[in-house]
Amino acid sequence: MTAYIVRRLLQAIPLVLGILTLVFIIMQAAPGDPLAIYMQPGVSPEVLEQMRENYGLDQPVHVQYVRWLKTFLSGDFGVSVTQNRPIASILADRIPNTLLLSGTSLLLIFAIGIGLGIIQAVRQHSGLDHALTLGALFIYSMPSFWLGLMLILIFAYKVHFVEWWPEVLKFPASGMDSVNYDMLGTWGRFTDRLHHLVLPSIALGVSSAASVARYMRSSMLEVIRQDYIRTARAKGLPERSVILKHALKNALLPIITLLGLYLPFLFSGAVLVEVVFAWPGVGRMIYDAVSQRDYPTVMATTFVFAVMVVIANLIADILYAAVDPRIRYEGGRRE
Amino acid sequence: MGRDFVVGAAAVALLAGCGDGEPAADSPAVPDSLRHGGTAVVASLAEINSMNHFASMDEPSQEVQSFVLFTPLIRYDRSLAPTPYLAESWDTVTTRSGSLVLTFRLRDDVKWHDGVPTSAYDVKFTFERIKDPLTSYPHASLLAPYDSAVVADSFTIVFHLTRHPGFMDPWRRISPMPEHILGDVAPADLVHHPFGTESPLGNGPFRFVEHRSGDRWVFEANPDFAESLGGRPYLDRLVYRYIPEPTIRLAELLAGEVDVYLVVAPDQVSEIEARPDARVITYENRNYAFINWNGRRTFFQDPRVRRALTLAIDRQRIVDVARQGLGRVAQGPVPPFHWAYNTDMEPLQYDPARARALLDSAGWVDQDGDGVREKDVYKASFELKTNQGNPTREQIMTLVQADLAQVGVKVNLRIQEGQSLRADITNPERRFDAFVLGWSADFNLDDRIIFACSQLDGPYQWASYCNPRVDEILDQVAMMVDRSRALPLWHEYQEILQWEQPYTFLYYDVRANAVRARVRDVEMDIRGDFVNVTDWWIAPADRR
Repeated sequence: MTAYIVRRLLQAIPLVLGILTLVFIIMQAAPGDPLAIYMQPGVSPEVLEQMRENYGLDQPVHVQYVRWLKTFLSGDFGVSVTQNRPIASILADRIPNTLLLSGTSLLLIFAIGIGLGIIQAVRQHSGLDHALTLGALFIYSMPSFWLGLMLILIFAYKVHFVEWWPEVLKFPASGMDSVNYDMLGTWGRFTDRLHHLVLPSIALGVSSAASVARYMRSSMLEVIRQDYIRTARAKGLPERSVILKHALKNALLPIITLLGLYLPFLFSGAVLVEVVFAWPGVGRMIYDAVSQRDYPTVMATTFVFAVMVVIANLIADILYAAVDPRIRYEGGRRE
Repeated sequence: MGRDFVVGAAAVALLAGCGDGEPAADSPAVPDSLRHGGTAVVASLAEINSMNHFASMDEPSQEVQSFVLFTPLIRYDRSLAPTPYLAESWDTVTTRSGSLVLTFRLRDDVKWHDGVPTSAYDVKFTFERIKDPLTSYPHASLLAPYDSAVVADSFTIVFHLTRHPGFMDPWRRISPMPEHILGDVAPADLVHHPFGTESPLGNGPFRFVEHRSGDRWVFEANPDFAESLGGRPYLDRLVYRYIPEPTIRLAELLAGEVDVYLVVAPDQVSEIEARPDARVITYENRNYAFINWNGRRTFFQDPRVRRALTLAIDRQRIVDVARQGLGRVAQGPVPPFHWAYNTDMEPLQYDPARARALLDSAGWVDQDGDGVREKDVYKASFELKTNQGNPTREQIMTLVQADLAQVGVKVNLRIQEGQSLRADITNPERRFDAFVLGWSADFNLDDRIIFACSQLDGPYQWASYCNPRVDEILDQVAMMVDRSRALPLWHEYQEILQWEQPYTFLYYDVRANAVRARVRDVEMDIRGDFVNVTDWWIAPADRR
């Protein structure tokens, strides 16, 4: 297993390098100039030339690429042209925020998805099953940013006009925490963060949860029909034990594959949700950087994304192997 | 949060003798000593990246720097005349050679937030770094006429400069930076120094508390702020939040999480005004919207055609529809705030009949009956561009297309991504026919970069307009300090441009900001949104 992990990590290196080169080429090919935001009336051309020199943008493309690659691989992510800060410190600020949002979303997706899937499988063809199917398809079709705006409209704005609505269910419309966050105690801070996480995680996760529910439902249905389930029931085990202990474990296998597939989408979907909810994360950072042609930031953020996706896939594969005893990557021998 | 909402609403209801929600009438009811406290939250669409003045070139950063965290040498009063701020007084002496010696005497009671006094050395340091090309300060041209600075004593600084109008304007914008912190930093490294984003040290009415990248800046009141400049501001804390989505800014304002919403979209104004607990402040700012005609294209070369196009566009309707009335039809490149605004002139009136007559006389006639005029082999047809992401401009484009179709001119619309549009228009080949954009006029107006023959190859001469008389006028007024002598020239300049219409000036912008009633005494005008931030206060009952 260790050898497998190491091999996978080594394979990831040329992959990430290839992605970075591709992004570099595309960024250079796109019209526009990172110094364009500085090109304003009152800014003389000499100043722009000096900036160009300071940022090394006056060098030919291949020179820029090699220079950038060298500094990058030595750990220096460079300086953001638009924010005038070392990119590493910007990323250090923003990555935890995105991870928090994506992580909570992931938890939500799988908790809701698996739960609903089990219920639907167990009560197949009932009224509840049909209603949940309809609901799942409805939500699955919604774009995340629209869903986000609707959630804000209802739960952060309209609810203020309803007197009997409980305080705790009136959610904040944006941001990661309240303005007076640092004046709250530890418990206050924890609940404040949680309060702010609810709407964005739902917006980000709910449509994926709907599709996970569909997968879970069909997977459970398939497992429930197996002989060993019938045996378990014949043995006299309580239904709950049969479903949750015996069926669920086997039904979870395809879901774990989904985990690996969903992670990259979580980060890219997070861009829209982050913009709508003013969540200070990495997704919005890359969106702003691309619009402003901030090459160093785009490259560094793409690198971070690529690494996160590769690691996510690796984790998914390992989990899969850990959960399914039939799968071993060394060719059939049990570890 | 909900409790405050109810309390706030009740407070306003009790004090609702003022029908328009204007809280000024009850200000004397709360004595000065009880006004201290509370947090005000400002939400804006502009992210402020740095408090380092050397790195800032955008208006929002500069505003927060000069009103909240730092103390520039002067401020403007309501009539846009310089008044003392960090500088207690100043005088000018004209030398025999015609240059100016400007002496500032600074106050001695302004201290940096670490206790070190602010002195003339800080001003000199800031001046020298700005002039140093290695710093790459974006607005270095502001100080181009300034030659040198000499520190006479700790609180007196002497500048030598070429005499020119508006020589005091740079000192309104430039926030002196602390020499004892940044003095040893190499100029090329100044812009990236963590001072700007992680640990700025100011000397203004508010102190820096926290900066969350992409999220907010938090400032708190400076209890030791110089009494002569107003002393400690009333607010305990000021939070500047960056919220990119306009719907969310509105939702946060209405939910009570945000107190001041900067740059309200025109279609949101009525919804905010309908509420008793929020009001909209409007003022004419320095921006105007215009259509630029590419003077190199055959169709736009004849000034009669350009005049006809302006006459054919119903600009009042554009203001009413695209800006919901938040604008004033424009007559030229000098907006109403400017002292030289030509009050004897009127903008061209919407007159499609006259437009048609002008186009006929210029030789553009519809010969083949397809509704589009021709002349020789050319058709009266062009592509109108604007940048994406601006719904107002997209509406303007549609209205212009409809208006011009009425007079036999065919307009194709194209919405282009911001950066690539910018690349196209600043390119020396001027890869466009016409576009709709906005412009921000300086207090110290110098239109040479957009209209002078000498700038035809520069990035901003989009109209490729060349009139030697205009060059003459602009060169002269750039050196005339005496306004009464310069005024007739300014008037002539505006009259020429109205005749020649290198641009169709659409409207002068009216800015709308929203303020919740719980934050009292907020005044905003063309000088800035934070112009009286030290006077903002929140009644004890309304505080969070």
